Amino acid sequence: MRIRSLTLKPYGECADVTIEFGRGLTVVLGANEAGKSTALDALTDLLWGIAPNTRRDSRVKRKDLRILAEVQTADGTSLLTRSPNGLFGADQFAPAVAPWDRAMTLDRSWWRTRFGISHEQLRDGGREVFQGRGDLADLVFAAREGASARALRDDIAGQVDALFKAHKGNKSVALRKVAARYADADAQLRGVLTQADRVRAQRGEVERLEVDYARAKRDSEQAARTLQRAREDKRVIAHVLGLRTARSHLNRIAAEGDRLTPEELAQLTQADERHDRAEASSARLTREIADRMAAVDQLVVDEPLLAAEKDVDRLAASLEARLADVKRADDEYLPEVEQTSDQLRRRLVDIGVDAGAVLVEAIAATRVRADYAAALHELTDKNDGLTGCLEEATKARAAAARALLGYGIQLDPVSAAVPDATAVTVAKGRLSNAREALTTHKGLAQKARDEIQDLEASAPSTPTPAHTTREDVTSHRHTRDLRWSSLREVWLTGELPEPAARGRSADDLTATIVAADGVSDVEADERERLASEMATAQAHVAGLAKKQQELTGHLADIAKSEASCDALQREWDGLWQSYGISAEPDLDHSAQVLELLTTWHKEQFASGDAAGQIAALEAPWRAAAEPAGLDSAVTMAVWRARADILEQIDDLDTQRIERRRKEAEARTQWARYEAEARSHLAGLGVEIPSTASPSQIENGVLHLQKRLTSSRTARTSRTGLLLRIDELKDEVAKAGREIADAGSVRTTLGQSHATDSAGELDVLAQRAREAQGHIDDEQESWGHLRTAVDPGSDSEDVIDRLGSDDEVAVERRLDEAEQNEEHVDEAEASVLEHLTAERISLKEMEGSGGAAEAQAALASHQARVAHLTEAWATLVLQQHLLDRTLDTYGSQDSCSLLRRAGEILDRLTVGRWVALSANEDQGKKTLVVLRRDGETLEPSGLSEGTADQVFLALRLAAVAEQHADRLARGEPALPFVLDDALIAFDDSRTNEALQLLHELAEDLQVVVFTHHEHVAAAASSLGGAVVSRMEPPEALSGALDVEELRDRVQRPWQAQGASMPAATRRPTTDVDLTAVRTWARGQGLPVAERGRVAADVVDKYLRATQ
Amino acid sequence: MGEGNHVKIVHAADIHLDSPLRGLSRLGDEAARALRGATREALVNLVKLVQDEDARLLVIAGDLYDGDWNDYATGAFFVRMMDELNDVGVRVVIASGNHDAESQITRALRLPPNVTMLPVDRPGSEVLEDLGIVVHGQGYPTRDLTENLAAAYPDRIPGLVNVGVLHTAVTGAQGHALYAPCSPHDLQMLKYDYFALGHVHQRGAVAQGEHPAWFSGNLQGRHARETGPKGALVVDFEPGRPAQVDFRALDLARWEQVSIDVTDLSDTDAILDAIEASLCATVGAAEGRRTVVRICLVGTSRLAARFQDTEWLDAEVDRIQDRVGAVVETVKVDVVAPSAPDPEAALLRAAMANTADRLRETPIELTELLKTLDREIRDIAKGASTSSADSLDLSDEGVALRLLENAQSALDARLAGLGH
Repeated sequence: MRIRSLTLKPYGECADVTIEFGRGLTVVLGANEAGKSTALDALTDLLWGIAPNTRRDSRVKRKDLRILAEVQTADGTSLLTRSPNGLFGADQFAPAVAPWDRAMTLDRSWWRTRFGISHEQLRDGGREVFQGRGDLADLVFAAREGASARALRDDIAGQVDALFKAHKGNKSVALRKVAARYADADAQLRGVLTQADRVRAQRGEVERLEVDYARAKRDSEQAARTLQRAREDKRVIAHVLGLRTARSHLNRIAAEGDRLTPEELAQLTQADERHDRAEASSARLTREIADRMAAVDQLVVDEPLLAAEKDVDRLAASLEARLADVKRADDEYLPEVEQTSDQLRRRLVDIGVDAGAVLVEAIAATRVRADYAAALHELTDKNDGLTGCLEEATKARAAAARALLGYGIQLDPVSAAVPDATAVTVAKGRLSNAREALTTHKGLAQKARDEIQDLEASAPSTPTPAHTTREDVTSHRHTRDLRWSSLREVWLTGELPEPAARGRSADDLTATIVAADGVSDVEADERERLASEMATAQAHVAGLAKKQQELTGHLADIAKSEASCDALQREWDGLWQSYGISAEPDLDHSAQVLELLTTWHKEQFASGDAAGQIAALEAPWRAAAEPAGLDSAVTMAVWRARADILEQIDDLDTQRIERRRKEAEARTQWARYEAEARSHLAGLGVEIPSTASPSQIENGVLHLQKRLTSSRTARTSRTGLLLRIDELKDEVAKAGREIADAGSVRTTLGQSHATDSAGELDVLAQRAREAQGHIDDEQESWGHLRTAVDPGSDSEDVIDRLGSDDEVAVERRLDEAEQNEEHVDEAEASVLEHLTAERISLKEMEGSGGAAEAQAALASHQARVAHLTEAWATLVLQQHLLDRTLDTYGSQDSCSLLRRAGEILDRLTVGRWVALSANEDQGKKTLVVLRRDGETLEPSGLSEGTADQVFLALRLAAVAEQHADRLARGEPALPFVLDDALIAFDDSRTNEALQLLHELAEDLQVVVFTHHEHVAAAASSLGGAVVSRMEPPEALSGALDVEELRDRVQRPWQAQGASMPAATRRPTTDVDLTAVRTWARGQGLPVAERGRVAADVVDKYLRATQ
Repeated sequence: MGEGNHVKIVHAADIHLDSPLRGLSRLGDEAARALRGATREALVNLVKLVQDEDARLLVIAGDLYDGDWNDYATGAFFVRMMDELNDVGVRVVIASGNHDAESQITRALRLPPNVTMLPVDRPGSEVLEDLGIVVHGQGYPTRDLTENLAAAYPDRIPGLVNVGVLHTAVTGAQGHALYAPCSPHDLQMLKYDYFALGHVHQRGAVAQGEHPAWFSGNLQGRHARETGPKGALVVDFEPGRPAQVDFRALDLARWEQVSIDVTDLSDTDAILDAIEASLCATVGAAEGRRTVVRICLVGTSRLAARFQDTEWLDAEVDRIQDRVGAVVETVKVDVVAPSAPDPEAALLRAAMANTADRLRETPIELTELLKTLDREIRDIAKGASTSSADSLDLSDEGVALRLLENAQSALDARLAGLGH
């Protein structure tokens, strides 16, 4: 099978680009960016499909990518189309089976590995040869599989080492890390684990101690009880002894004879004391009664006066009020009556009535009937209202006229007309707008004038010509070039001058270069300055012209606005004249004038209306006045005045009658009081004349009041003395009873002890007094004893317990009990302390937790260790399997491959290296290379270029083998592709390689992709080989000037003051020296393995690659 | 045929309290913490189930704890749970199992009064008059009990619901030590209304019909072989009809294994998508429980070599499990590469297979290769299991041969993928 052509119809950056393939070797030549890599991808995608993540969909979408191919098979030539959806026939619709992989078992990776060699793969293979120390298995593996077994082995070894290394010192491997974590977790688990059997043992210990503690506690409680009794004995022993003594004395007295009981003794003593006190009291009271009786006899009491004391008190109390009434009747009420009468007479005279002698009748004659008066009042009120309206309208109209005069407007009442407010507002608005427009245009014109003036004042100066010109630059550069030419001449001819002269020449050249650069810089600056100044001057002139043009426009606008203002002003004046105003108001006050003028017209109308209504009231008034008896002279105004006076007369008359009534009432009160006073004064012996003045009555009443006060005092004293005398008499009787009672007590006691002798009774009493002290002692001791015993103790039991013990015996028992209690307590505390500690320990054990979690964590770590262990073991076994497999792989059947590869190497190295063979040393097979001079070398002794060629020879031999195998199995041939694989070959070896490939291509399609013209040229010389040239990249449209672009790039660091790199300095550090060495070896140029590379070699490399 | 009252009991077994979940090497800290208390949470769920179902009796058929686990706190937690049932008047009857026989925890505990441990020297019958139930059973005096205990169990007591309890390896139970062996026929002959069995961790009926006998399975799966829902059985005795047995899931975390055939999946993205979809479905079926999944990739694929890059695969699976909310225990790769497309490659892979065959004849060569690591991690790895080996004793030739299988498969995939 052969592919005859490939059309990239849109694919990548290409559209309708066709590559022709020959029947034998095809070289596809494409300069950089011509699409060579795209073509290689297209060939791959044609064969194996367009990958979902293709990079070739930058210009069109992936779905639109298409690759057309003309494929020649044994069945003929067919057209196929590859799209992202699959492989189709020429119609692009009918699915097609790929003739190169009908079983669909192959894929792109396999093909690129087996039937593809790139420059990188060749280099990797070369290194395999170079570094592999000739391991035959590795080389055969790499040649046949197209991939490195070493890489696979290294990959596995890397993973093995990352997991575990046998050396103990290596702690960073994963397995040792997880094992360490496992150990930590295990230690943690041991720390928190509380073993259940330990808990059981601990619980047994606690239970044993609990029994011990219960026993110790019982002992302790017993000791405490004993100690408590001893302490109680100590507290009570003194009281028990006192009790014993008192009881002994009482027994003795009882033996002497009878005695009063303590109660009888107390009774007798108390009776004797009461008897003595009662006798003394009786004598003192009798004397006091006699003294009180004498005082009563000396008191004087006026009984008749006291009988009338209520009446006298009432008269005295109302005396002052009654005297005041008489005084107001004389001084106030009577003068007011007379004064009011005078005022009435004067009011009557005001309305033409002479009061004469009888005032009351005169007043009655002034009355008008109420309904007549009401009708008259209504008409009068109406007249008053209209008169008020008339006055207000007249005032308002006069005020408006005055205000208009204030605005300089004289109103002619005859010609004045009511103004149209809307017409005035419209006319005002138009005139106002026109005036504003005029002001605006004037302002703009003035601004333009100012700006013109400023521009004229700031005119720039004329630009000065450049001092340094282009000719200066050319001259300096010419000088520099001359210096360089002469030096170059010297250098090329090799006729070098003296070292000192060489130095001067170099310095001279440097100086001329620097000078040329300096002049060039100055000239550029000058040029830039001049351009800038010219631009400024031109901008100034243009600005000035523009402003003058603007001024002219503004002046024309002003003229137009002024004409409009005049016309509108005339319209304004005419409007006001039509309202009867010759001097029209200005715009600012026109609104106020309009309002005042409207007001004047409104008030003028209102005053006329009021006057008419007043005149219409005259007829009703006459009709109402006549029945009321008013003559025709009484107008509504007269009626209004008369009605007011009649109202005043009524008020004064009411006032006069009230005063008269009050005067009469005051005098009646006094007369009644005087009669009563006279009656009492006469009855109590106070003489009053028959016509007495009020003051005489007053003196009489006051005298009676004084006598009454004295009699009352005497009566109170007498009553008090008599009450006290009665009380004293009762106390005397009570003392007598006390004396009798005391005597009866003695009698009773004598009877109860069978004696009537007072002396014997006193003996019994004396014996009782002696016994009483001992009884008190006994009771005191008993009280103390009961307080001192413990709560709950029985005192008699305590006395019995003590028996005949004394204080010494009690003290001894207390010491013994205290010592015993201390001993037992210590024992209990010790057991309790031990028990508590063990209980805490048990509690801690029972309450401990976290072991389950720690165990779970441990299990996780264990799982991790197991996981990594399994991974490591599997990898180690893979490593071992691979090594063992490679040891035998290829050892039996590599002879033919080596023979074929040796022949190819002979061709590739133009007869310098002629054969390859296997050398076996200690069971390990290695590759050796045979030189034409008969010497054999291990691969490590070869140069890099030759190593690459050894590997290419092996690969070509393997590809030929595989191709032959495929054909033998009836499988279609597959294209063999080399992608710039000959880049490091010199011309002769390139020619040989191409010749070899051309021969191989007789039954195997071989395609060489390259960007080297010399490869294409070499291929062209081979008969039958085809060179397909890909078009170079299109020229860029809109390309810019190169100098300008460089300037653009350089300007930034020029502006920062940095210097340009010296023209003579080569940026060698930017060159990849490894690439240079590889290229140079390929070109047959001598280069050292390491260190610096000669400058001329670098120059050649740069020229070749750029 | 049930007699007596209508009563409900709960049957659980193989609680293995505080037994750690195994093989969680990939777990992050958060997931690890959540899973560490799984067996305790399952026990809490059991106590809640008893109360929710208003059951009056809980029967536990052995293995409360791992035999070699000796932490008192574990037992204390169990007692707290039993106390909770005591508070609500629920009786508990326990027949100890082989693990309990050697457990120090069992001896150290003081159980509350509602808990009855059946005797270990002879079969005992605990009559619960108020419930109308009698529980027959015997615990383990020692771990290695190989007698047929069921043979000596007493006859049923008429008028009561008869419940048998036994920790046993019923004949035919796969993968379990043969303790207290008996046959389904032995159990049926006793004619108990229900037989509560323990020891086999997989739930299932040994006998059905009038005299059913069930393994309840364990409460919480602890490793990748204990998959599916785990919990207890609610047994309902209604007069006149056989006991009704209902399963209730009580597990906090659920173990599952998913197998994904990658044969028809064209690229790694499709395979990762299939893994994610499969994990989603598994998580969904677990009803909100944390799900621990072992993924097995099987089939034939050109991408076989890609899956030998465990670093890449682990990273991708980590991302997926984070998105899905599952925990992946491990990814077991059993993907083989297709036949070689050319004779050279076929030759190479055949050569490797031959080499492996030769190595199988001298397994000592394999253990020699592995002994450097074996010396260091023997104590840790020996008791550990992985997805391919129950024990990882590198000195064991059987283990080495299994690892060689893995290595051959992996290397074959790598060789097939050369140049890709």
